[in-house]
Amino acid sequence: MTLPQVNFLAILPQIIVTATALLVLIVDAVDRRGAFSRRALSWLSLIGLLAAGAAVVWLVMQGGRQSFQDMAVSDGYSLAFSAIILLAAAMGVLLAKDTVDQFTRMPGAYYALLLLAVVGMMTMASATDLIVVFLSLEILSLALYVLVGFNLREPRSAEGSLKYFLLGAFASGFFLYGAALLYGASGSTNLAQIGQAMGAGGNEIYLYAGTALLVVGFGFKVAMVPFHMWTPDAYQGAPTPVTGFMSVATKTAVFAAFMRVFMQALPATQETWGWALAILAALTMTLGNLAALRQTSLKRMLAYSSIAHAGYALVGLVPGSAAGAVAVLFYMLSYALMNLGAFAVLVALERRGENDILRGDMHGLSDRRPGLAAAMAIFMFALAGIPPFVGFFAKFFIFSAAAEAGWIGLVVIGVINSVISAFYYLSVVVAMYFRSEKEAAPAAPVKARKSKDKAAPAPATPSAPVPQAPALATSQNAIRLAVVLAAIGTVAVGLYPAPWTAYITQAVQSVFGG
Amino acid sequence: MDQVPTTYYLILSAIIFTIGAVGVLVRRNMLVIFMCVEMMLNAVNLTLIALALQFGQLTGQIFAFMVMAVAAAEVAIGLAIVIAVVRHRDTTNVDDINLLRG
Repeated sequence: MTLPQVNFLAILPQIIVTATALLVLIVDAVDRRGAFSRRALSWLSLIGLLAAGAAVVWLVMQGGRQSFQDMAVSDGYSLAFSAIILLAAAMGVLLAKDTVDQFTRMPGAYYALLLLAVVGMMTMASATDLIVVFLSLEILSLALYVLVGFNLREPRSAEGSLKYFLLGAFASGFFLYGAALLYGASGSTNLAQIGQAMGAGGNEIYLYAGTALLVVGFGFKVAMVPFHMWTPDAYQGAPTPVTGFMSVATKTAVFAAFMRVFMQALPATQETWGWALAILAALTMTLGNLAALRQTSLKRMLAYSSIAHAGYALVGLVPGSAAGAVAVLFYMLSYALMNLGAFAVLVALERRGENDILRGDMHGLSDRRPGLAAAMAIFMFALAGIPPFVGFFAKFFIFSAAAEAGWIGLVVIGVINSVISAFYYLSVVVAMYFRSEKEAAPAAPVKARKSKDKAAPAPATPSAPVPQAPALATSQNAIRLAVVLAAIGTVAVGLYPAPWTAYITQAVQSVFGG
Repeated sequence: MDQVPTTYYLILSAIIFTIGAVGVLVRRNMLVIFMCVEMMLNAVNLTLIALALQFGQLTGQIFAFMVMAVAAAEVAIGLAIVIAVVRHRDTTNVDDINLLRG
């Protein structure tokens, strides 16, 4: 009897990140006093993520397609998504490095859960079997449910976690039933084999019911309207570094699996699900943007904006073409840069013990912290889709892919939505640059700022929960680094999109052809 | 020996799944909602095993095992989250958990 040949290289990045997560837990457990681990854990996580990134680059240079028992593959497509996920995770670690003590006494568990979520996400991007898609979906979801509720002192954190968990588990049930029905229709859980069986004509009732249930399951995870109810609550309740990480990385991973399942297993029914997704995309963009208009909390505004962005990305999936997949991949890259940048600015501005930023807090930011205000302006312009920042090209590729396939009406709705979204993004810029601090909204709590002393880096907060606490996190170097990296990325990829799109196009075509 | 036709199993599991899904939507106690979710997962398990029997394959049964493992992990996480919420609000009614809205 011979042992089966197992190609562990195909899942090398996942193995590295898993090992790092376990190492973080061990270091945290061994070093009881915590003097060493407080600093070391974030560095350890960053090193692990960098090593996984190096493994991804190495696998890219190897080229070709390495398969792990036909369950997961490492090809250009999965590696590109993995790179985006690792980028988001590294930003998540950087954002938490100086602030993790503010929301938890268990930094080891925080980093370990974040890394395990990354493992689930990367596996999801490389899954080629419905069983693996389901398992990786659960790995990332279970880690995120806990991360959202990580701030034990904050009732909102627990509430967001509960809502996310109940609706997420509900959605998993739908996803699973969809997977089971596809298995019933085709007799296989392998995506390529399902695609072949469907091409030959399978049982139609199972096929359509299964497809619809999969749309519900994936739709919940990417916050697609009408399955978006959990999003604003979970995003607002979660500690801000977690919100930034999950808003980007979860979407990236789920879109990777969403596209692979629908384009590889279900191309036979593309016309039907194309229409369904087009309607959902239009609803998602419109509702997300309209709801974002009337938010005063910036975290909640960005939550609704992330719903709207899920709608834009969904437009790229509608035609089911390779060009659409390229556009979605580029969209995820640009969304990672600009959205994590925006959340990094929020983390930098948050006062100790608070978990949110109101629009009134942004008043006069250009005087108090000009660098941060300039970065935030870049991210807001990019999210609104204004050239030359990266968000413009992302939207441009998405809409041109949809227009090529003849979805003109959908593109018109998308462009109208971009205009609506510019209104609330730019209102943040207006607040930062054209409003003085004194005009801060009276409803904003913990304000009572009267000093005109603009030289002070941050005004004192007399009515803050802990009276003598410093207004800002003690050290902000890691957060500054995250803001600067995201800003450079947003501008650089916006100015020179060509090398990125060339690589992404090649990666997608190696998997989907065309 | 006459076997029960696979269709019967599938109809039964569809009914159980629907009961679970409706339960999630109409019940207000978070533990009951949670149990309804588990019922949905077990309905899927029944589907998977019936289909595996129909196809004469192991894939569906392996899938069902994976679902059970995931369901167990979900229970552990879910009950921990419920406890975290109850510590703040001392209620298991989801309508009372309403700090976040808008």
